[in-house]
Amino acid sequence: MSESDSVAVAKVLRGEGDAYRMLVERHSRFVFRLAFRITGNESDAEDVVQDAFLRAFKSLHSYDSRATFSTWLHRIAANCALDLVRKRTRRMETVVSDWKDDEGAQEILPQVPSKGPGTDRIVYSSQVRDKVEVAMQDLSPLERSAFVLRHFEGSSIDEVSTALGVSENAAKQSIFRAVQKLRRALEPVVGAAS
Amino acid sequence: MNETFQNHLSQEQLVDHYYGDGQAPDSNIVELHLNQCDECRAQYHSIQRVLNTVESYQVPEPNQSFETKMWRKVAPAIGVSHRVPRARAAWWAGGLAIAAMLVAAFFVGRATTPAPLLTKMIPAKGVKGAQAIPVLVVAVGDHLERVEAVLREIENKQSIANQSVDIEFEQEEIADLLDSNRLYRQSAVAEGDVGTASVLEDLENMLLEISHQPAKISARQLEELRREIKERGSLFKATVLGSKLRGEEATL
Repeated sequence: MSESDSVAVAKVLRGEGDAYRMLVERHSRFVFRLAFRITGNESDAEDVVQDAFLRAFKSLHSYDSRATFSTWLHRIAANCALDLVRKRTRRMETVVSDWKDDEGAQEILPQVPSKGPGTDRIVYSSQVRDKVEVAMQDLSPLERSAFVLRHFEGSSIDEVSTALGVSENAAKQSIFRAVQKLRRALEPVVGAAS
Repeated sequence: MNETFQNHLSQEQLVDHYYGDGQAPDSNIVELHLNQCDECRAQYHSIQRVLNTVESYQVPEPNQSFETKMWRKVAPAIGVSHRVPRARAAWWAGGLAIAAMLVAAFFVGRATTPAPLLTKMIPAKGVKGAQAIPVLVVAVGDHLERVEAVLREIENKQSIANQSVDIEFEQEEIADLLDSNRLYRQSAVAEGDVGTASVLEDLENMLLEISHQPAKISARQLEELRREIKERGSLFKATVLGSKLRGEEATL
């Protein structure tokens, strides 16, 4: 029978680095799912899994066994994912800003889908799943991370705020804004189907 | 703002109610209101439909070797060897096949001249009394075991028509193996161990062939790789030479 997470953590803390393998192998798939929902692509999600396990290893001494290892790890992973998406967003903004300065780019720019409710974009998609994906992409990094934790992970507002390092009010508002955006984007589709 | 609107539930209250984690102190009041107010109930059902639809957001399932791949990435950064225990390598081939390989190894062993490189005794560092161990025999033996395992993984890879097969994990392992293979082959040539050098050269060519493929290949490309492994006899050669070395290791 495989040993419990807390036994493995204790072994790692005693210097048995190999025990960490069991934790990585046991949890990496679940962390990947969380990371993918926040980042929206496989490659970034894999980076998040790796980063989360490294950060967790470095701060394992601060792990409080009153929380499950899984909850603690997911909190770290959500934070890593938010960091990565924020960096990616900043890079994209820089690229777009540089691009806007280029002569001739103005002709191309209007073809780039605009940020916003996303309704215009999703009417071209034939599958609800695609529309959900597009709607999720239109959320800000914080909105998306908070929403994923609340909706898919079942985290409480308190847990969301701790994981993302924001106040409870900010966490709550981010989730609310995410739901509003999703409603604006998906109601025409869902309403038509019902 | 009229009194009727003020009496309606806010969007935030409705969202909180949907996730209903008991934090909202007025959850009973919300429930009661929803039972009585058509407008708020319609709003709530709309939120329910949208959020239930979000459930359809798909997460791709990572391939079977995902956990191992992650460990291989994490382990070096925390100062732990990422090597997978031998028991987990592809040693599950039938007993009959292994027996056949061992018989073949016996005949190959008899047909080849003693290999100076592989029987050389090298004093182990840090061992008192100048005790010697067959370092190269063990090293090449381990190396061949890894080559064999990775070739078996390619051989046993699941493929579905019209779907790509991810061999990135195997390619990472092969990139690692190619460096050591080159070193062992050059050492074998330098020591005049033609038989070992020849086998290592054949294996190197096969490993290079796999490493030059894209990380995701079609079922047809996978089939071609399997055929090439079989035609070159790569797996057979790795197993035979590996068995021979394990035999030598046991007698040293």
